[in-house]
Amino acid sequence: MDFRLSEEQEFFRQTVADTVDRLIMPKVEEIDRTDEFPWELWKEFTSLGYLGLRYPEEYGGMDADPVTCMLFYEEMSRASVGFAQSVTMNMLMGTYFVYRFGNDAIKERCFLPAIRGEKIATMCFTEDQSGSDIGATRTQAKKVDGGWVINGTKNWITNGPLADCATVLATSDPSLGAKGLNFFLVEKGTPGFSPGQVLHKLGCRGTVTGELVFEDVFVPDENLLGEEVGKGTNYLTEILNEVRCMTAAMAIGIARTAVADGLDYARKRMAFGKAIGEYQLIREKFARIVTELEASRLLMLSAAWKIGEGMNPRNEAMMAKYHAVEMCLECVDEVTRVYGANGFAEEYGPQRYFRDARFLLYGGGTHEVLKNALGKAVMSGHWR
Amino acid sequence: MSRFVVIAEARDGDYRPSTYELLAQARRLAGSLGGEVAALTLGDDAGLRDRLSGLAHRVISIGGAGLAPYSADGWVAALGSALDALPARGAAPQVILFGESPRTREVLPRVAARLGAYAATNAVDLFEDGGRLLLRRPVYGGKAYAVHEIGAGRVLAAFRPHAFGADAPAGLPTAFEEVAAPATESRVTVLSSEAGAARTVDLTEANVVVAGGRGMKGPDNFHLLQELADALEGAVGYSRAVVDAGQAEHAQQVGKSGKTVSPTLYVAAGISGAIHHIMGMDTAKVVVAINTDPSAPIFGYADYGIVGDALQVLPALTEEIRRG
Amino acid sequence: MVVLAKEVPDLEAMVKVTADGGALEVEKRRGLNFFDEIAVEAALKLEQSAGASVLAVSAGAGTGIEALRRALAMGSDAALLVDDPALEHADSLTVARALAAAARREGFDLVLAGKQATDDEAGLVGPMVAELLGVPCVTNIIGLQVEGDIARVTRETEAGRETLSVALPAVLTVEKGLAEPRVPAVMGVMKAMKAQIPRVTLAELGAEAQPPLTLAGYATAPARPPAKMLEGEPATVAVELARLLKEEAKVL
Repeated sequence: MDFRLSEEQEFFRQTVADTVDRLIMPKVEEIDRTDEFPWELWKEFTSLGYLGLRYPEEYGGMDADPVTCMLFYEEMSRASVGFAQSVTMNMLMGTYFVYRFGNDAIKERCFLPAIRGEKIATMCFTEDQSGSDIGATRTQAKKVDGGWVINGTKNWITNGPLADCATVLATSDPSLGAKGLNFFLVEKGTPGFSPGQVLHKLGCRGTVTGELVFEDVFVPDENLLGEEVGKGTNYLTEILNEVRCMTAAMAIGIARTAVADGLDYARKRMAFGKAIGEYQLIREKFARIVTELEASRLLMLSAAWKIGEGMNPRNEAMMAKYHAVEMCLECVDEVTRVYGANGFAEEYGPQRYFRDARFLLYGGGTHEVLKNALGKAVMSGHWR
Repeated sequence: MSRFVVIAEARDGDYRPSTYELLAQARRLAGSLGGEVAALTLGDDAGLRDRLSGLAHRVISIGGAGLAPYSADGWVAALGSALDALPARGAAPQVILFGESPRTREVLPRVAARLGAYAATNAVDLFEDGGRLLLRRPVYGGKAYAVHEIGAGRVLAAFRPHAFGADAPAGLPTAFEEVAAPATESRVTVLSSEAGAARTVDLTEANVVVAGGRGMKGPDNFHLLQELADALEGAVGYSRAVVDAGQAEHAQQVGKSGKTVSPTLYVAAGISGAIHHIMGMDTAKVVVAINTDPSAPIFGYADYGIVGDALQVLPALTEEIRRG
Repeated sequence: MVVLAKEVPDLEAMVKVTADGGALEVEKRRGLNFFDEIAVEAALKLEQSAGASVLAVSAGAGTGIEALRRALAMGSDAALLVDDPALEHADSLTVARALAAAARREGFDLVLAGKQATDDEAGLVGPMVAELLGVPCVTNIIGLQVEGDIARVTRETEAGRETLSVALPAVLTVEKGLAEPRVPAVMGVMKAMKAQIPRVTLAELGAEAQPPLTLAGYATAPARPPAKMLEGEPATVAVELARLLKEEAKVL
């Protein structure tokens, strides 16, 4: 057993960290303040080619293993988890099914431009009445001659209002619940497909999140992303572990920045004649949150490594996501306390980490849903 | 018997202040360790050699066609041969002291390579401790200091300005000597030179530096820095934030990726004190910080702190200094 | 073209003196020297216009790979590491001998290097390499054009700015402002990750190590006492500060 990253992975992490520090870090406050999608940064960053990270080299990708991908997600989120979400939507959820099931023309039209950053991709799950409970999806696709007609409204869609290519979860038979789901590719400009309201969020500002409306949207048969009708849930499991690990990596990224800022502050900020980091109660906070952070990271990396080895670490991925996000919330909370009143001030980072971290609670499953699933798995003997 | 050789470099009609400082320290050390103090002066600078009278045992003027106007090739060849003519004296140390300057930075390493001598730049002290001759220089941007013992052999060392006081007893009997440099053709040609960016007082050599940061709120207020600098006969510097914003030239940037300054007085106006900045100024003798944020890290590196708006404090201070 | 690439600790790395003062503990975050990165960028720009190739060379005792990978990721064509135990805490002249021997063996029209490294800020190695190679050297350049066998360079001086011409081959050391180092793209990163970087020893290059200057020890920077905080109206604090600078600090 060897817990070290390879020399190559270490170099990759360092290069990404440096890129993030140079390109993204200087802009994070402005992005948060203006809440506008940073087009210039998007173009500059995506031109470097990272969006193809997890895809084969023949498509201009890096064919990176899941652990290497996690290093990328973590470093990105160290700066801006909002921007990281826009980026990862194009890297994973927004492109995976297009890559997996799209024909050559679709790949040429949607997949390749998306991993070059020229088109914005998204994936639409959530609706007003369904989120983690995907079986309750109401957006419906009806089979017609030569294709499908989609009706419904999606909400909380990252990149949604900007999207050129949307992978849409829709049911072909509402009576079948999770067994009637399918993915369809809907492209910008298709009649009946329109962006709805843009949400104003507490955190992760600058990433555009909002509604997508489908009114009698016709898509041809080749836009059904899947070999078989009604297998959407099965296909989803191909990336769900990765999505959950990714969310964990993002939480770890925020937590690292929060801890680094907190340490810096605790070393420099004086109270009663000495740096506050000299006090035991402040040290206890760091001892605790850094331990939690390392535990989260081990759980996340081990789950990601299992994905790379072809295993199905369903429970570990759920654990990693749930543990890392809870850890991140605790970290950020403790760091805002270290900052005292400054933790409440806009000019310091912790308030932003506090707001951003909370958005990670939902994607990849709420913790209530994940714990239910884990509890069920454990009770039924799927954990030893 | 040790030997201290000071490279006397002139600028604007006099030897640099560092020349006098280095000669003073050389005399102190020669006094306590025993030894000889020599000064080497090259090209046009040699015309000023009378000013070194009493400050060294020997003043050696090096003349030759390749030395004026200055060329690195000419100076390297001249210094190489002149130092070769001052052979080491058994196990006693021989230190060749340079003041930090652009010429020093291009000449010293090459002469050292030519002679196979030790070289050190950025040094802040050369001192005696229990009969040992020691050299101190900052490493990792001043996060620590390395202390080297100078034994047998030649060491070429460049010292930061203000490393030593210039007030050591003088009055040495001085022998003036002249030597000719080997004929050297410069392989570098000056095509043009223009006066510009540099101010009357060079930032790295200034006794006083007044530096402004983001808290100066833009170039419209930079005259406040210049006015205080003028009143103190100092130079103006800027933080990286100001330079990166395109509001000041890189030549005026104080910090890790800019100029390292070590003035007697450093005034930081509206500078928060990012570690990059601190690394370029924390060897200043006295630091004054003016910032609206009482928890700005700059106060942790200051001797005197004023929590207030630099735009108001600077003019008040300038007025008070002018008053005398 | 040869670029001298030094691997240094991150600028923000923590540095601590050991209890006995005999060594430094430096946080293990390392990368390519800031100024060498500018040199790489300048070399790559010239490469595009002149069709030359760029070789990055580093010297270290088991270190230097990170710096070279960075140079490769940016677009350098090849890299070479002089790896020798004698380069641990080596004298600048030893490092210069190693690099000069490597440059001589590989061949060069131009050697570019940062004006100094961010760890020791010595600025010795570049000009030393020039002297050892017997070629001219211009330090701290902020402008560079190559026409045939002549480089036209600009640098800031104490009085302003000067433009020089220098016959190639030559060594040029670069100052901030010459070029803005590019952020490596994924293709370069991949290439750098996979690169097998050749290593040579001092003996293989015929370079001789010089024992370094005796180290007497390390010391931490002297701590400044806490700042004396002055409060009140600008005019009042100005008067008080001027008095303190005169009478207490004795700097006016």
